[in-house]
Amino acid sequence: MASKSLTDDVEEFVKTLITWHTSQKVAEKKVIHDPILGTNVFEPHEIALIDLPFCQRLRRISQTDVASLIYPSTNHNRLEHSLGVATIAGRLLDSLRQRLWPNQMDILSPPAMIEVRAAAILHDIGQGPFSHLTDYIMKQLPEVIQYRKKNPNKFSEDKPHEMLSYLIVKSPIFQDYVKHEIISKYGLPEINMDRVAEMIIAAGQKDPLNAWQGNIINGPFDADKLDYLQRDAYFSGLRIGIDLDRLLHSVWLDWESSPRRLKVMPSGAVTLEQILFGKVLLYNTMYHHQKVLAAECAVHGVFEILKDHKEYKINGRRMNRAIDYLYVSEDDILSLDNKPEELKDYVERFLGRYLPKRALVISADTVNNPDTSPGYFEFKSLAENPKGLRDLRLKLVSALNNKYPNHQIWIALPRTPTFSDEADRAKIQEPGGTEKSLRDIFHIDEWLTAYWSNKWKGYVFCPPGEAIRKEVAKKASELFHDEYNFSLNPKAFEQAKIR
Amino acid sequence: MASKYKPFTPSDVIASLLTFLPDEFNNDPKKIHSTIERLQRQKKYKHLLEDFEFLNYDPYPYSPLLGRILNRLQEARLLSSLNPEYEKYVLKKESREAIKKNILKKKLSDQAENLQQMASELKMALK
Repeated sequence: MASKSLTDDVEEFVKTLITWHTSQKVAEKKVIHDPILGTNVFEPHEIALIDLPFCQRLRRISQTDVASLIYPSTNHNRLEHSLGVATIAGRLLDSLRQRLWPNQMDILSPPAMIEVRAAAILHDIGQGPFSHLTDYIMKQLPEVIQYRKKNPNKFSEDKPHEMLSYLIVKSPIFQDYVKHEIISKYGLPEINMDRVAEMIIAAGQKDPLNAWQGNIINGPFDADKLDYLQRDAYFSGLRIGIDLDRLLHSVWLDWESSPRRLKVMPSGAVTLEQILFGKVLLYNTMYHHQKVLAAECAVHGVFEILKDHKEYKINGRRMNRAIDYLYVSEDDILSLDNKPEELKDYVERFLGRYLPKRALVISADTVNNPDTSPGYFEFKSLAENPKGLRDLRLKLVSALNNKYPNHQIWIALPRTPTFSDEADRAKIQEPGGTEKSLRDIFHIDEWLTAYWSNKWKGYVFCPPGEAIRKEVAKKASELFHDEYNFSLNPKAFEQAKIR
Repeated sequence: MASKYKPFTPSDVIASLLTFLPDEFNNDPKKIHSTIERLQRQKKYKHLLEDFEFLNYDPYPYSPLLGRILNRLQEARLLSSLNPEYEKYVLKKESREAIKKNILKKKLSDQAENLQQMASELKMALK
């Protein structure tokens, strides 16, 4: 019997969740309050979409995985974010309306408006527990790789959740439900759910007439970024700002360009710069904070234990297929119920914030002669090669004579952020003027890359305890030298702050 | 087609390819991404570039992986971008020789001719 494909899995998932759901007619518009975006109105059909279990499960997915262990107020979830994206998408549509001529208004037809807001509401429904943390696991699974290879140049290789969101919206059962329970029940005009799915993955950006819709959902200054940068900063307490109103006053739709795309007047360019600065500061201060990375490694430990014990399950699922991650919540993973003793102990310690500690810090500052040590570059490139990174980690466990289980020894190589596509894709122009990109004005992407190059750090983590940390540091340093031919200077040990 | 040498990664391919470029070359993401995407579509280079997903972005096909590799080369201090204009990439002689010795010769020696041809197309595009 042929093994099940990713689309089969998604279809079954959609069928299961739709079966659970009891559809109730929403009688009127609803007001939803948000600490960042204020008071916002959602149409009855939008509330019907939000009420679907695909969106409701986002309440139980943290927007910033386990960062709340380090930034305690960072407890916002993916549903809040999705509502924020829909609100900002709506505001972008309103801004465009103010700058269109009467004969151009058809472009903002009711179906187009509904599609953009629906894409915003649904854009994250493929997210697994702990958001990007499980993206890292899902992207390695064979059915995900196979589907991506069958559909080349369509999906970003490091965002499998976008692929899953797309497949859910494309699913015939989902589309049938939307047709009968939403479009017909709420008397909506015919909307194209395939276009909604395409907006989520940024396909159709060269569609001459409709590319602008995709720009709002997945573009260089999309509603997604405009929400998450503000939201993550606000809830973490980090003072990183974006002048959204300034952007809304300067965004316009270039009717003459092919494809028709969103542009920003020069007066709004400062907000585009804030987006890039905000992104680099959030990576530096929160997403790649050493303790956040350590906490993420600790959660990966749960999946590592599952990998080592084929009989262990979470909520009856082996967690060896991408779809398993959509059936379980963070609560299921961190619950102490129905777990074998080993897993229960591990989770209990995580819940008590017993986190791994630094043994080594690896960066251009702690490596000797990095400019003539391509082995250091090869080592850093393991960030793209989860299997290679795991193999190296298992070698380290073995070099430590297996004194510590492999779910307690970690090598964390955070993903390198990129800025060039935003700097190139965000178009700045006065109506009738000359089009420029941010990088035409100043190579901001390279400036940020240079800044980032001095900030990037990788780590070796291990259980707490001075003696253990020293031992792991020594063995890891030797192993990296033997395997990758680079050596570490004393700062690699000093910066780990082993006292 | 697999190399008979150690398995290579997309990062190894890009680092090795750069060793066939001049010491200084234009830092133009549009031309770099577009050229590598065009090379990927050529049968003889497909095996070297098959892991790159070039998303159909406007105004040019963009590979997030290629973007990350170029940034990582800078983080690792093998490649640098000249301050304050950042319009050129610089690959120092000693970095080039180290990449040749430790990556190209160990993992991609049998692909050197292909890489050289790819680099010459990239060089033309970046002129």
